[in-house]
Amino acid sequence: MTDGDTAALGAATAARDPHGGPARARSGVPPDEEFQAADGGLTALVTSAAAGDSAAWNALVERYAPLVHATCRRWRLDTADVADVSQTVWLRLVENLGRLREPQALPGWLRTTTVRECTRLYHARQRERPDDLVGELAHSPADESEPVDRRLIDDERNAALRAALTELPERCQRLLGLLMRDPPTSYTDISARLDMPCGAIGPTRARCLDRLRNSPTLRALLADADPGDGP
Amino acid sequence: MMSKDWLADDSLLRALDEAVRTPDPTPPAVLDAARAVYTWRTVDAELAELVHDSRVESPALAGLRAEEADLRTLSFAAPGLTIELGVSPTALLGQLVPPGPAEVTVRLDGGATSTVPVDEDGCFRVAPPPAGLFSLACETSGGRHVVTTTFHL
Repeated sequence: MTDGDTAALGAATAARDPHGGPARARSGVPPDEEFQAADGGLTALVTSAAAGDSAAWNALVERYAPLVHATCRRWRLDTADVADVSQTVWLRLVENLGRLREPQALPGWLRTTTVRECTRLYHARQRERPDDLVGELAHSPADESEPVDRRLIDDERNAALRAALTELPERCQRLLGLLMRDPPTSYTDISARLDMPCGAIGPTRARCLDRLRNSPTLRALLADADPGDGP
Repeated sequence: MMSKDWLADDSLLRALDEAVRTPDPTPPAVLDAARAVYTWRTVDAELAELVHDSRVESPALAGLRAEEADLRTLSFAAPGLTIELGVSPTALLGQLVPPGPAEVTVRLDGGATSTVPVDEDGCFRVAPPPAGLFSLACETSGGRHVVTTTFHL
């Protein structure tokens, strides 16, 4: 799906599809811009927030604060420390909004900053109990090989996927939404709702999932080699 | 970090489905706090970054005598201007380096501000030390407007 296709089809379906409008209008970016934005409006939000638009900031918080929070919890920080790191990450962002390499760099920047702050606090807490071996063994960052940590890992992945979804063109978000319905939406219905030929649905699904894999948030998550900065 | 089997088309869509159906466990207070951070945005000011915090750099602080351990020092630096801070139980002691005529304003959580005098040695004092988030804005006679990154003790 080229950006031109997205723009043309997005504008056409905006008028026809009753489900397109309300959710997008919340974000502080004019609906038309979002329908045509290949990046789900990310660039517009970062630019607007950097320029003083608090609605754009709130939209960024809505999209990314859950992932920041889930990452902190995966590091097994206590509730107070999780809240502290979260606040610190967003404070650093408000100070650096205008200095990001580019708006698309935001998710990677958030992840790097979150992991750095979690690591810092994690090690500070470990130092406070240098002789507490039992404490050290019990409090390591969530590890995929430990069944009990499954919940923390899943929460982080869920938050990442929800954020990544917002980074897709609106048309992809709608297609994937229809494909996930239970009971499943028929291809005939999808074709009618999105003004897309039935034969294009399969290939478009594949392209949208590829965009999801390559979204800034998922790329940042997968680029993390190892959470094992702890013991 | 994690196996990548879930990234294939079918499993990715299933994972996305689960993500969208699972209620977001983020406490509303965390979201509220993140939104509220925006009020700390500064315009037309140079940022003085935190470059030194004795508490972070000296894990052995626990071995010091109590009164020494109380004297936490912090430094915020912008090009050509550093704001040195010493934290005592009763006051935040500040020093501008290099010293010079200036006005320092403390910005507190909630928006309240107070201006404190700066003496000819560049010293100033905030008593009691701010509780919660704060930043220090320094207006030099040379016309520079420098603000520390927002911080809490």
